[in-house]
Amino acid sequence: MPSSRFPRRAGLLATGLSLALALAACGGGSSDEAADPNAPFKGKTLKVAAYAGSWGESLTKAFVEPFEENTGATVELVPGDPASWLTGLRSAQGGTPPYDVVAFTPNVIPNAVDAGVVQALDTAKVENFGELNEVLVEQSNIGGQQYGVPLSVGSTGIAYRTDKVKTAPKDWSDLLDPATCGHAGLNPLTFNMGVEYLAGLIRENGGDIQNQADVDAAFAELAAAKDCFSAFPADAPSVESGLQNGDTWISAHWDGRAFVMQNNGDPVDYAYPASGSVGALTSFFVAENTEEQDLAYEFLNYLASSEYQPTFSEGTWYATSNDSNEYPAKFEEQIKHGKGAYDDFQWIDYQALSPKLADLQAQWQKTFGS
Amino acid sequence: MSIALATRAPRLRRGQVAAIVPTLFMIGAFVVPLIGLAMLSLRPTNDLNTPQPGWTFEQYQQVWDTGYLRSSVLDSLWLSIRVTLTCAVVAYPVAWFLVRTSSRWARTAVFAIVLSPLLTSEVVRSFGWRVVMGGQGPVNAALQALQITDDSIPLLRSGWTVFLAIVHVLLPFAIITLTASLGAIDDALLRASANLGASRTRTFFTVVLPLSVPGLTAGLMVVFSLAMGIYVTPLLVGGATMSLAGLQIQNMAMVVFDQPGAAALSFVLLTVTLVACALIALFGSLTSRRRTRG
Repeated sequence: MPSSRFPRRAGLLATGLSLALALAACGGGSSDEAADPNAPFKGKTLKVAAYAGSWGESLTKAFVEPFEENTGATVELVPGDPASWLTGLRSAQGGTPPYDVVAFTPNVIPNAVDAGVVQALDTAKVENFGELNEVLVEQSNIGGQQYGVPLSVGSTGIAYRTDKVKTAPKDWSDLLDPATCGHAGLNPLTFNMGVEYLAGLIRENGGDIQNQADVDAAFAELAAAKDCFSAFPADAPSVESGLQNGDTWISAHWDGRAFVMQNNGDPVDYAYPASGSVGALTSFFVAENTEEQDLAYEFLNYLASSEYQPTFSEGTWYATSNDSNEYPAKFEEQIKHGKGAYDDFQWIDYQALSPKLADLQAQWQKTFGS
Repeated sequence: MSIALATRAPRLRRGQVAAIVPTLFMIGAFVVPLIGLAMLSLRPTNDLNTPQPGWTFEQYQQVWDTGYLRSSVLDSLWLSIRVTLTCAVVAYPVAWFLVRTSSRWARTAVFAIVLSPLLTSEVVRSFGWRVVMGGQGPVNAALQALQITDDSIPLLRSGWTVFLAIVHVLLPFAIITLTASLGAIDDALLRASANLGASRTRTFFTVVLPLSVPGLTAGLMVVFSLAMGIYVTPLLVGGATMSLAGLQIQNMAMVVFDQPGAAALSFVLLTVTLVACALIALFGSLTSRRRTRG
């Protein structure tokens, strides 16, 4: 009896297992086939290198959330800064890159292109590329080849404490005004805002940062006011904490971040310099050897779209690159944006400046170093 | 004899096996990257500082020939010497108190205060200094309240602020190593010294100080090594105006993207640090030997 019962149980078990497997197989199959056309990238993950903080939160809200919802893919944001992302891509060169899409500022782009860690862009594959601001697009064009999709644009100008500075600054040299001596912040050239300030000051004097004689003249001007600088903030949060805690009353800063301070109740205002602001831009690039090429281009489509960009601008208070964007009234009032807005901006040619940057830093160190 | 050998052999093997894992870890985590860094420092670069094929000593030549790079190493050395000596002098009485006090409450409280900087990150501690020394910070407020100054003073620009911040960051390392060394001194030696008529000062210089040399040497080496490569604190407190090798390396690697140059400067700094540490160790060894002979 036992011998005859066992086969019956085994048969039942086998039947049950077969049914379970068949059901599981059907379930799996239906799920794959159900990868409905609305979620073509379901199960895939795109690694995007982007800033943390409110910038990253706005990126998530404006682009990542609709992208994930519509494609079925998952976006993994890797926080950091352009320099560390470039270092990461360089380290992985030849293998799979640590990020599929990466945000770079103009000072990093020539090095990234020269190192071969970002792809030349097939602009035909980016919907709405034609709607992007030409001046901004040009900033990631190296040697006639387009590499990046511009996203957020700001300008470097002058932020100041409205309760301390009686006369609003009008141009770059107002940072050297004796009225604010002992309370001015000067960014070192190890921070791209410092390079942007120096370029602005030189331009106000009618010169060019690429010309050494003009650079020397600007350094002489800065050296004469050397004792008037109370702080040398080496990053944007340091600029802001300096203005907030009274270490500085006036300092170079980016418009978006300065207006966010103002809108949050800080006694801070921002001046666009009369001789022209210096452009500050963040563009997105596809990493060389990415395994998610199609997904990366799909993400660029979202980044370039006027449907999503205004949400990002409202979160960061930076203008975005699509000229068709429509912004809220307060944004329109405070921030320069759109076609023609950047024509008088000075854009630093980092391709030409990067090889000289170490020497400029040495000159700065010689003037202000302790 | 043969039994003794038979029991020693497996022990030895177990000891060797136990040593394999940390050795492999050290090779993987320290030696291999160091070799990679050495190779990188020998790469030529193009205008944009991208490493090129081939080998060259031009990065080392650049460190030697470029005034601000050369002086950054010397300035780091001078700052490290000042920080190390200050930490040693300040740490000694604190460590002595921790070892000698009979109050458990006082020992716990002082130890907690001493260790508290290690419980927070260097970034947080450095930002703390910015708050304290800032334009609207308590130091400036006190100076104005005492009518020493009418307006806030840019204390964050001062090299002394950076120096104090670095001492604050590194002091716990000196105190911990000294406490261990002072705690190992037998009380009987101190009593014997007193019974033989030595004053407290003489006991300190002839008994306590010589016996604490191993801990002092270890503390000096740890503080000196950490001070030589420090960059977060001077960057956050002083704002990159100080001429220090650590700041230059960070700048070369992450701003100018001259990684071979940064690697070469790192090796120069490493060499100077190793030579200085060897001198500190030699000082400790000679002092201990003289004590033994004495």
